[in-house]
Amino acid sequence: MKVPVNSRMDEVMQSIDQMQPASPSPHFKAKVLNSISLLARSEPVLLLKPILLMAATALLILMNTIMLWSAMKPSTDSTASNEAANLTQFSKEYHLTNYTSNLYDVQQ
Amino acid sequence: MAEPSDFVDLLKSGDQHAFAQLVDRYQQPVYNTIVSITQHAQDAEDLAQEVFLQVYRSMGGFRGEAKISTWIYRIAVTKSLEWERKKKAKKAIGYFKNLIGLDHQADQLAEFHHPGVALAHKENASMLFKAMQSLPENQRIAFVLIKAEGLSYQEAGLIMGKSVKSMEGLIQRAKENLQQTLKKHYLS
Repeated sequence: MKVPVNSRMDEVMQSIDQMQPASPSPHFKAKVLNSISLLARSEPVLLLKPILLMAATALLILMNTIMLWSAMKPSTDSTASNEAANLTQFSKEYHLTNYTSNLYDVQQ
Repeated sequence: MAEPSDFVDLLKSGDQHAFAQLVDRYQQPVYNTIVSITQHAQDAEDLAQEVFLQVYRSMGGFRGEAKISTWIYRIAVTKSLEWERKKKAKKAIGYFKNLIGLDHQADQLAEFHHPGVALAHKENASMLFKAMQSLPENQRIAFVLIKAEGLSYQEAGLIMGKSVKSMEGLIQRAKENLQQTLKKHYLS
């Protein structure tokens, strides 16, 4: 006997109303809770990671700045100290202590 | 299903016992929604697990503007759709590989049997789920939430961000489209 298309269609459409909600496997809850406790334990490390990264970057920038500054400073220092040494020598030779110290102050 | 605010506070503080209660309460609706959208029982379980992990991670940002159930359903629907998009992309790559002779295995869609269907209705339900694959995304999601999950039009509307009237329209169109697909199948 041939079943009419419309009644066949109705049967198919109604099949969803006779459906029970599907459940996951019995060990699903344990699996989820286990993953959550693992996540909770790794969370502080995960949080610490960007902080450590930022601190390392800041340290690197600071070290770079110090290196640049110190690379520039000795050259100016040495020029100044050389000039001061020359003036001291000059003042010793010509007994011009006050004059040279004044000049040195101007240099500073 | 309204959640008391102290329960939400416990969840926000990362209380594992409260979270166990939440999993107990929502594991079935989350899994049922995902399995009905993805039509893949094994992957649905993995996705349901991802939903609860996402809920745990994002609980701090939950502002309580919507019910927890609405929020969890939204995450479940989003994860299912993401899974579908990834699968479609993989399928396209597989098709291309097949075309140039790199992969000889064609990706065949296995017949889906919803775990909640009784043996007597297995064939009909399988036919319906196959027809559901041809529905536009929003009609299919509305149909799953209201017909398979048994939510009210209002609850489903809150999950999908649509009014009750829009939901009624979506369900009406979904039914018409399903009937057309089934008619074509039986007359061919």
